[in-house]
Amino acid sequence: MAARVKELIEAANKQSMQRILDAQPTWVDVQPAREFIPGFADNLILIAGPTLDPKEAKTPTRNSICGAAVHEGLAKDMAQAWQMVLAGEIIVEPLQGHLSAGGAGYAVSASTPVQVALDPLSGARGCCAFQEGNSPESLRWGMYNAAIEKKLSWLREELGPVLGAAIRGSEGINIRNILARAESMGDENHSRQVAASGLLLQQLIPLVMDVNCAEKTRSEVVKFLCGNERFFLHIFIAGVVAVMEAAKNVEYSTVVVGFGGNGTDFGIKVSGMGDEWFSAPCPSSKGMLLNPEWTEADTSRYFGDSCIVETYGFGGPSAAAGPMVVRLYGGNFDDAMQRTEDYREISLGSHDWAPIPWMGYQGPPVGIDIRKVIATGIAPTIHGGIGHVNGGQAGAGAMIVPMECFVKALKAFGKKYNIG
Amino acid sequence: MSAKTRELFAADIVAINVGTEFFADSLRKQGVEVEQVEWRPPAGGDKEVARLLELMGM
Repeated sequence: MAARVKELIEAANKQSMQRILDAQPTWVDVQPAREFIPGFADNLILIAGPTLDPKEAKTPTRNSICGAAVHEGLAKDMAQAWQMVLAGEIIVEPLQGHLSAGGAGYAVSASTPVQVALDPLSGARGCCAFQEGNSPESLRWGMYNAAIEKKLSWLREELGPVLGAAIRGSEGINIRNILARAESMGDENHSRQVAASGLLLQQLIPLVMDVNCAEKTRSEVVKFLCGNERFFLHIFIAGVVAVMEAAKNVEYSTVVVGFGGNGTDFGIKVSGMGDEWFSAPCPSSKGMLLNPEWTEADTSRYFGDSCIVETYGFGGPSAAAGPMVVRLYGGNFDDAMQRTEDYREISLGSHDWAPIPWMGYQGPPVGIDIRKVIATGIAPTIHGGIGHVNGGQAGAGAMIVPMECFVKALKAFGKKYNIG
Repeated sequence: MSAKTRELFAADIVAINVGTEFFADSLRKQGVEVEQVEWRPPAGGDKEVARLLELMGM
């Protein structure tokens, strides 16, 4: 019995890993969420992390939901929006499960422009809304006000159509090619993507120059893109969603295909377990805060789906490639190298196409196996921003995924497949 | 006792301690060189999980 189960798991994991390792995530389009995501109801708001009872939502997540509802015209103000959520007139569901994932607490409504990625090998697609810019005050960090509404409207009315036309006028931009080069340029590609964003612009700006639009709009778009060194991240997230869509739903596979937090709970998804979340109370990140007067008491618990990039070998698994990120919480070069080695212990493969020169040209580890996490006792460390408890970005750092998520997943796996 | 075994007992002892460090400390106090190996039972000793892991090839 045990030998048979082991064989089935190993064959399934090989299949999931093949899809992850071979994928060529490519940015191909920008569309309103309702046009890309099947069955997007007018009163639907999608948020990061596992399934959440809105009554349990913390302030930043609540602000994002209500801000998106007002932006969409579903409610006249935040208070009315919240009442509609509690009354079930506005439906809140996780982004992951709707071919999407969100950077931080970005709440997506029907008209939100989303960047669409395709893996041409599998045909799988995924999407993610725009990275809004550098301000710590934004919808994705759990804030909403007149200035943020102005930015959201600009993203929808100006940036979305221009970038949509630009990218549709090309063969698409291969995300993996950018990652491959940025891995040896100091990016770990979750908290830092300075090189990747620059490499993206080399391909994107010429496309924008060819779009038929008002010169004033083009000028604003180019200035926005060039002033935002993190713009690549949300395109990358869309690409990872496409990859994980290809890798998921492989019966008996123990490979992790989803990570996400909503400020209340943190959850993981496992390929062989369909769209089920395995969640635990969400920890806080430890790191560097933007205001020296703030302490951990001012920080929210982790919210965001950007950590899905960790399931694809970037962020924490690529810490050695971006050791400056580890400085955010007082670590050093050796700590960065160790973080990558820790991931190697719990992963099934590595991205040989993204060599890290100072690690013997090995690529970052990829394909987290829930069995290995529990057997080694090494829980993955994820990178990312830190939210303020009242909304807004408080800083950036790292968080350890609760072991409870993996133990719950393993037990459910055993039950589903009648093991033991 | 073979010559090789006698040789071993005549040499300085270097111990490898796996898990609870209390035993390593005890040897160190006796002047014995100890290499500590960090180890914890999988899933904090949860027998159900340990059995599942074994059945699942770990």
